[in-house]
Amino acid sequence: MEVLIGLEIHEQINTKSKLYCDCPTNYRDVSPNTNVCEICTGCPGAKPMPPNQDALDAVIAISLMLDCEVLTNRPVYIQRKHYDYPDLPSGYQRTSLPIGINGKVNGTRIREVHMEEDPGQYDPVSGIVDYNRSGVPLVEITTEPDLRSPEEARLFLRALYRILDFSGKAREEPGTLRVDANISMAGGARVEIKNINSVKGVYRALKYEITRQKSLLTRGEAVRRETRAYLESQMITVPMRTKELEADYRYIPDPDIFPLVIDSNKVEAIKASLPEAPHMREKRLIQQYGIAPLHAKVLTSELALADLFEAVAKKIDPKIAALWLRDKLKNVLNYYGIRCAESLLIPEHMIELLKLVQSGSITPETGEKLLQRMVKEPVSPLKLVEELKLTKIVEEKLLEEAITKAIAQNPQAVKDYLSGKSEALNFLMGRVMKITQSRADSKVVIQLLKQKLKR
Amino acid sequence: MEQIKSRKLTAIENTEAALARIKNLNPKINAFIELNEKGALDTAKWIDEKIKQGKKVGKLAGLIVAVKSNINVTGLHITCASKTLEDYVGTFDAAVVQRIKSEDGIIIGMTNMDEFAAGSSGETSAWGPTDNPSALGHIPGGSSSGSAAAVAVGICDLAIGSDTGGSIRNPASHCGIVGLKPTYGLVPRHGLIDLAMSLDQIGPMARDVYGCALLLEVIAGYNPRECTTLKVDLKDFTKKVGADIKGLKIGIAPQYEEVTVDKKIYQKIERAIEILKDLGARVVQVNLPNLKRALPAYYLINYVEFFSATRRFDGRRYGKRIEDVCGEEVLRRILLGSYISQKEYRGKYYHKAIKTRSVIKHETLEAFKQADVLISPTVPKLPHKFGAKLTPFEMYGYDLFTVPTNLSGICAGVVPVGKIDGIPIGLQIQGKPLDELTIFKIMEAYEKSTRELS
Amino acid sequence: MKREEIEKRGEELIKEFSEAIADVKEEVETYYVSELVNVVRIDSEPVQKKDFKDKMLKIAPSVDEEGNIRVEIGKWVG
Repeated sequence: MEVLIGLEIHEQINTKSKLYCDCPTNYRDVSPNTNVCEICTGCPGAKPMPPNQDALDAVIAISLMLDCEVLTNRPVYIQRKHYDYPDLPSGYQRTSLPIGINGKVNGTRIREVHMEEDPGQYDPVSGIVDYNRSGVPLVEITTEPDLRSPEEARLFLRALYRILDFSGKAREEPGTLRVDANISMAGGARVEIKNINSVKGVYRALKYEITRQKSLLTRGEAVRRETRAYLESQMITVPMRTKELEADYRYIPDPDIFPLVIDSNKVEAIKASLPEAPHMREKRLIQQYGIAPLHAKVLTSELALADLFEAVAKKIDPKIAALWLRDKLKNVLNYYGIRCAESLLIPEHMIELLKLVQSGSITPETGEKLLQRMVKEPVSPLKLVEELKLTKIVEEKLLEEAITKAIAQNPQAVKDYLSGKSEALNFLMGRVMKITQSRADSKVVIQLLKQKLKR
Repeated sequence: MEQIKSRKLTAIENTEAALARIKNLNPKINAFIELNEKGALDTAKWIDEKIKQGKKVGKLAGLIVAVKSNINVTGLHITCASKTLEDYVGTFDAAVVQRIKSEDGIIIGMTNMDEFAAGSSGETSAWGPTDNPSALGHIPGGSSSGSAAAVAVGICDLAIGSDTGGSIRNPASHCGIVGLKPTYGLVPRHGLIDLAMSLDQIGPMARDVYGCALLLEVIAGYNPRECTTLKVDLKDFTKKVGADIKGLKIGIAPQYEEVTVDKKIYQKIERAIEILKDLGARVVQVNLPNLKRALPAYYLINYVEFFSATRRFDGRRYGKRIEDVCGEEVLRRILLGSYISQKEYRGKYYHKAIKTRSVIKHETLEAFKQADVLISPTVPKLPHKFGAKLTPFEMYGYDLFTVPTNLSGICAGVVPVGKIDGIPIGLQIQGKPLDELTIFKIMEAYEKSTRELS
Repeated sequence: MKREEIEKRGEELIKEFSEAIADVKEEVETYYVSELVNVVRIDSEPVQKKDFKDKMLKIAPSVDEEGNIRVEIGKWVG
């Protein structure tokens, strides 16, 4: 059965102040209803401040990065979209007419790009509202119904997010994503799923919805046109049963805000200063630094990681830098479950660390351990090495002692090795590394072990 | 005010006297629905202290200012005379209120009005109607009914009102005071609770032209914190009024007389024009063939914008859902606004009205190519008595002369030109965009000449 | 007056109004009286309004101890 999926994606723009007032945008860092004023809570009589120019420029830049045509030299009205929902303080959301149209990402057509204001946060379970988020600028991106499966939707969203990340205009904190998905199957009506907050959520919501619609259709029942909510906790969709279903938004140009007219010269200027698109950067990294395509792909999965790589590659052999960032750093980030942008690692420290490893002052194993700390606190690895005395053991005597100790403590492994099980040697090496706190050169240890056990 | 600055009268004395008059007269007139007794006295004390210490005081030092109940003042009930907002306490000062406060005006209280400013009679307040102190038993006009009545009866020195389709000028005319609807964008709207955002303006009301010009001087001017104020050099209205009006071209349209219901009103206007001619003004004929279309266009736009503006009154933050508690006219406008802005009907009604607005605006500005001002009655008929039952259409009829000003975004002043059967009649003078000064000049010249006569 | 009656009479009013402007030929739509465009502001250091929260919460019909506004529970989760 053919499935048509279209997405509507909302992402926050990283301005300092809100779109129509000068309240701060760091709504996550403060207690409920702190970053608010009469404007963003829609108090009677409050008038919007003039729109935040930087938010508009960001939406233009994002439109260009999505290969959209930017609509210039005509009035872009800020429209009032009326609907009744607890998070919406004025009973309408201000949303611009399209700023970009007809774009493309990974073969999926982008229909329109708009500038919007974020509503507040409403928790339907407890019935509470916090307006800290209300008025944060948003870019709204709608696709044509070009996606054919949850998997395609997932791949598209990842590609889209990589672009938004590389635009440098989106908020860096995770979880700012919000997606509404439209899905229709042959023989059924279009269903809209709201409230999806992650790529994984989109995948699961679509999977659930396809199964639900398929079983209705095979039973000969109708798939009704409706709006459903995705319940993350239960991984299901449920009907919203709100009046919003038959919503006629009664759009009118907001009489309190004059229209925006985007100048084509301005678009050219933004285009000229546009950050490099991720796929272009991926290509350039391969050409410029001679690194493996696979490495380049991982390094350009995130803007912060690509920036870190290029900063480090100025001082360190790029191939070594690529290897370390792709393997060791990625491992550490995955372990903590964070993105590179969230880590506290700075290029100078990474360079210091790799220099320590290259000069042989510390072992790669020590380097990896240090990395675990450097991601969480901005500490100089040089200082750490001095403080914790982590330099590589070069004195043969100390190594001898550690090896003797390891052999004495592990008679079974020794026996195994001597009877021909070569993997026992690795086990013994591990014991030596443990005794020396990874400060021994593993290659030297293997050699010494082999010599010792031959006798 | 000279009395206050020269210390013949202290601000405290002026405030106490005003409060005493309010307590005496307000039960009969119902002009105020919220008093700021303590705040007013504290401010007065502070002003007297400043004067005593020889410090500089503001332009309004010690003057008693009344504020319409749809303009935010921190800490006071800003109800729009509606049950919807009976528990709403202003969380901020409107830009005009900030300006009044910083010029040492004393805000005495919030005035009565038609509910949400959606009326022309002053009868639709949830706090009951305001009486017309100049013609008791008759409506004071609306929607700035309390502000006009308070000024007329002398329980405040100055008042601010709002004018979307005549709400300053209509009650100014009926109550026999001076009022002005400024050019759209001259006075900040931040803090003014919406009726129709593309038409609303805050403006001054006073017993004389000087007071009106003084208050406008204080409240007018660019506000970078909102979008729709204009970047203009403020004219010194009070210094420049009084100049002569020789050679000024007064535009009269034949349609003005045609649509005036009470012909006696038009006779008064003609007499006023004669006086202005004696003072050196010239009369030119202009043509306004679309005058009658202004009213329907105005109401259709008003319905849609008002519907939009009232969506926030959903009961979640201010206690009551507007549709559950509001009066008939407010409900009518919400329902009709919702109806005509639907996808299905918007082209036929809303867009048509927006197009008609282009026609009206164009026609008005064309007339100003021949005339410096346009002179007409303020209202086409005399105010009705309380108890008379008017259809919505009859009620809207009061706004015939006033709505074109708002649709065109221009300015207009009203000055009293006598009485008919004891009921005051106001002359409306519409001016070019940002040409408030010419209006003041004419009003002042008229006022002076009639003062000399009497 | 009942809501239905207001609506019904209102529709007559609307009809009358639209007839009065039906022959207007104009195609230009005037949403704003001034013809200004691009009234914008540059993003600047934000300002936190310290005393606003209390004023807002004082008016709200229902709030919780953390400073959230209490409203209805979502019908689809209830």
